[in-house]
Amino acid sequence: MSATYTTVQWNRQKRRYDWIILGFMALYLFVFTILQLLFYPKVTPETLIIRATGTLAFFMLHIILCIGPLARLNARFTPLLYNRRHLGVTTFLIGAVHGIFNLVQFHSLGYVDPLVSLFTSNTNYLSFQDFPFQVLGFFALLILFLMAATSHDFWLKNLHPNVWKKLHMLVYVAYALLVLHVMLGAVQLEQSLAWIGLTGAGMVVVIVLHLNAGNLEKRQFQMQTQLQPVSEGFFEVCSVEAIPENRAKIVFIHGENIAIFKYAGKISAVNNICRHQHGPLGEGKIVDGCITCPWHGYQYYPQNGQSPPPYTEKLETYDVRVVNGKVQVNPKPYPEGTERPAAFAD
Amino acid sequence: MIPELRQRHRFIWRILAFILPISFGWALLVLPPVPIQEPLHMGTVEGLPVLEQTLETAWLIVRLRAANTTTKQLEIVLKHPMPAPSAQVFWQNSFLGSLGAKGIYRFALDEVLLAAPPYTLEIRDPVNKIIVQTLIIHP
Repeated sequence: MSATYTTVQWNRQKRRYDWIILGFMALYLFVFTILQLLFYPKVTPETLIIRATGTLAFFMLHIILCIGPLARLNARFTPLLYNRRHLGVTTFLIGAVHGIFNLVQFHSLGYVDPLVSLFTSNTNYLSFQDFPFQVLGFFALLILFLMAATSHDFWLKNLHPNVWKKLHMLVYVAYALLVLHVMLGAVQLEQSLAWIGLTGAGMVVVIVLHLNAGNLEKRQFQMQTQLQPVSEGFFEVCSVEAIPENRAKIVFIHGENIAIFKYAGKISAVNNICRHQHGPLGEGKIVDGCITCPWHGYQYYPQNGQSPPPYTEKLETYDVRVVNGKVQVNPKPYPEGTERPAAFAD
Repeated sequence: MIPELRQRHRFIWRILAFILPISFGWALLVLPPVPIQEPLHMGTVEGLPVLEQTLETAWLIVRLRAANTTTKQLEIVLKHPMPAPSAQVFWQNSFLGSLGAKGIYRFALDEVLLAAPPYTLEIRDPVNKIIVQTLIIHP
């Protein structure tokens, strides 16, 4: 919907989330510093910075990875999804501080270029135990950099959705690299039960959440594709009460991915896929009378699928009706931007 | 999420759910028994067969060993930890090497070093810039 690549929907809510992120980071760094000084009174400032930023970035990456499945399992977490971008960029910046301090502390005092030293100071690439774990962190940071750089609205607008999404799914590779970075680095060197326990617990939480969300969606998808037509090409979807106000029910019928929204006593159906980056519109909500994509805030009118002027994006629309308190939808799509009369919810 | 994307996510996480715990467990299995803190040691050479002379002080034994008239060896045995944090061995004002932990140290002596007896052996503390011990060796 953006005519230019200025920030989309930079609003009070986003600013509030940014302050929460900053506050959390400040609190974490403060508590971590106190604990380090308490348990390791001889720790140097450089080591303290390396440890604090490394653990903070790794912890924040866990939060980022949990937001997606949490939002899919429970709609109450969707606002976090909407604000995930700033958390991701901040995580990269914190990780970059960790990486730069490591490079300076361990690789900049010799006669070899620090980056060359990073790759050549330990060449046990065929050993699991002695693997150069810093290289794993370097590549993870490189992925986070690419993600942070392309999270700007310029790239959101100009990169093809498939390319952008594939690039950003590399975060899973970065996560795997970082788990190994910790397990083959800090854990091997310090053998701290706390690091082992926290890394293991974080890994279990992230994996279980993603598998659960994936399995739940798969079951929902299978149920939705088993819907039978009732009459005149309409399929009964659910009761009116089953759709929360200003929210949607997503259905898949005859290959059509449809979001059925309830708002202001009315019900309308549009295609579920945002024209921007293929975000799930049905996981968003109605804001200021417009369907708002949970990913980047692109908006559409529910009755005709058109973006508010001056924007030009349009969605396919569908016929929808209410019979005996049940919502019925016809999966035959109308051309993008076609106005269809809304059904009355009552 | 659109169905194709959901499918891709499920596929990736099934792979990660398999790979990550295995890697995690493997990393635990290869944990070294104790933290690796290996001090650096200079390789010790074999002592030459003929013992020519021995001098002893409170904290070291100095031996002059030989294989023939031109090949000799200075052997220093540190009986106790050094009084200085680090020490350097000078023979006729020429630097031979360093002394550190308790143990046996051997230094080769060539023709130049053996040219002008008697020999002056000094143990110097380079940090505090003092001579810890001076020994005169008469062949």
